Amino acid sequence: MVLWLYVHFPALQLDSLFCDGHYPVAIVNRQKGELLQVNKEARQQGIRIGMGLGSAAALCADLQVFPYDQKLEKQRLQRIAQWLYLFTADIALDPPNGLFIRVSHMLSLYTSVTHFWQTLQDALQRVQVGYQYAFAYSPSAAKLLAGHAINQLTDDASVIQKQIALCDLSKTPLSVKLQDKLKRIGIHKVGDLLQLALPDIAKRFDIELVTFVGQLNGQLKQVLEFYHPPEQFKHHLELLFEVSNVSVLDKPLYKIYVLLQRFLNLRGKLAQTLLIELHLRDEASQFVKVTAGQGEASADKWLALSKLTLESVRLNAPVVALTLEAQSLINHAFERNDLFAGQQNSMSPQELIAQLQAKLGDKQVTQLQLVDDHRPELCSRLCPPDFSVTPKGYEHKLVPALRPSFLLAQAQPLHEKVEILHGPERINTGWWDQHVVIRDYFIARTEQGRWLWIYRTPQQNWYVHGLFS
Amino acid sequence: MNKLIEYLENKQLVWHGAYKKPQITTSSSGYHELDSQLEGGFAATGVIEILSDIAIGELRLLLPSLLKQNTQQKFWIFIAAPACVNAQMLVKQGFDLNKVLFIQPTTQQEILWAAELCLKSGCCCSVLMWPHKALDVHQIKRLQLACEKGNSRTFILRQQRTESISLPFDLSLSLKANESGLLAKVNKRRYAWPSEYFAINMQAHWPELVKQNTLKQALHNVIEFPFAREII
Repeated sequence: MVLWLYVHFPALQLDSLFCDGHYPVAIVNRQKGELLQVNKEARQQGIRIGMGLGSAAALCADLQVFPYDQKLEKQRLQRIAQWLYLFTADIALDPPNGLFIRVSHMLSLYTSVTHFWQTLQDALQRVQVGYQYAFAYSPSAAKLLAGHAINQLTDDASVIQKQIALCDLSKTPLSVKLQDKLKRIGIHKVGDLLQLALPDIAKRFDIELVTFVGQLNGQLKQVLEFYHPPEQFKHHLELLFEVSNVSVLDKPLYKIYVLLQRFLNLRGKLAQTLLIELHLRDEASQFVKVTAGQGEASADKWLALSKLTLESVRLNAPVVALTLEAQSLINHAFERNDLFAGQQNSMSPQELIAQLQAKLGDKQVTQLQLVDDHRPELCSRLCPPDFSVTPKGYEHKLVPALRPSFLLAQAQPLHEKVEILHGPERINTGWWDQHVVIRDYFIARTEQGRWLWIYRTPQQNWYVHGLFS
Repeated sequence: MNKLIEYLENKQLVWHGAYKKPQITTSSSGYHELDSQLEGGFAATGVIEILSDIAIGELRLLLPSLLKQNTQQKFWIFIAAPACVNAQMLVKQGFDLNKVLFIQPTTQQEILWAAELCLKSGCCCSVLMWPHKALDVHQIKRLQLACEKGNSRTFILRQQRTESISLPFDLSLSLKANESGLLAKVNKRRYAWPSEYFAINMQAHWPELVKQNTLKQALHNVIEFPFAREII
């Protein structure tokens, strides 16, 4: 028989809210208006699950209320599964708030069920979500027991059987109509139901009950789709308060960065770009891109980079939630440093460039590149920093005679009196790509002693193109 | 009485006859007139101000020392240059383009921020910056600390001084155009006296960018042999 574990998260949405202080918080069903999840502070005020919103508000005036969002819980469940996948292989999601875990196959890795559960418990603790669990010899039995908050570590079949027998019918997934029918014939507990033979049940009741009983005692197989983790990091965080000051976002962001760091370190990867989606109140989301040229994993470094980037971000409306997605993951290539190389750099070139880019913008930080072209404005080009733009040696062939230190972005008409000292150097090219250049270049000196690189067009117009600074 | 002397000393108003100059490591600027004036060339770390018109040769004056300083494959950084630096010229001079960063911040605040970050990062040897506006004493002090931390130096190039107060530069030079190169004047130098204008001949490095007819004049212009003083 295969041993199964079911982990049930009774307050998944509540636990995944970003909660800074101690406030009574509750999750409420929008349609029925009844409370589904309440936190410790709310419970102390006398608020219970299943209460109406009105009576809850009467008990506690400053109760924070959020509508229940099943999609949110599903996402969160996905992430928990992703995390647990590092410790156990066979996980099946039971949306919105449960996980089936097949234990038996993992026992060849872990010495015993106790060991297995200890490892898993450690992992679950780090997710910081409240949970209930139960072990049983079929998935649906484990789920049924977890719903009763059995929370007992055992692989003794007879103990489990007794616990199942004591379960109440109202906690089973059976329809209310069916439960009523069973009550009428004197069946109140699951134990009474299991005493009946399966063929007898099939004769009197419909297929729903047959599958339930069959799956409960393991006679019918339950089809489960096991979870396969995606190789990407995406995290969504609801904020408890609306944030209109960007610097306040650092704290919740850091929380996500710590998760990111763990994700990356375990896989030996680095993230190059993070896309932060700021969900705004009543407005379209704002996107912020943070880049670290050569990849980065550390939470502190990412925080420093995002701080710089966020400085220049202006919010159109208060932020209510954050989504962080790591894009373009690369493998971690370890850098070798010489132990005896004297003064060590406090920062690597990649870090420096990442910081500059984060604060000033990608386009402001550039490298120079030499292109094989005779037109001066095309030959020297700005490009994003890459460190391998121009291979060595290749460049020397491309350099003609004397060239100015500065090239003006746009050639300026020559207005002053100059003395021509060198020239002409004719450049006549580009007839093939719509950018024809016919120019005679001269080196000239003004009366003030400034050295200019000027050219004459065939129309006898004179322009200044460069400065010999 | 003692307190008064202490106070004056703190204000750096008392000159000690027995004061020893701290050892400053310098590297040759590539122009011997400048080297002899600066006793060895530009210091390896510090904040250096260059007051000069654009295009008279101020950058050409610095290029040889920029090249010479970079022995450890560090970055040369150009911040807020008045126009785009020409890659062809840099390559011709022997610069490795992979080690040149060209940064164009928009505000004065960002220029100073970028300069400070680069200087203290430890992976830059020289930063050349062209600030837009007047500078403040504390800004120069911050740059100096960053230079010390990162073992780097920065050249601040501007056309004229706009501040009324004197700024704590390690070295301040004024440059003027001259037919054979440049006329330079040391406005201020740490642990040394300012100078008058002296000629720097750029013929050796930039033979094309010197007026040819000045060669004859140069003969009349007696230039002190750099080692002459030591021999006597």
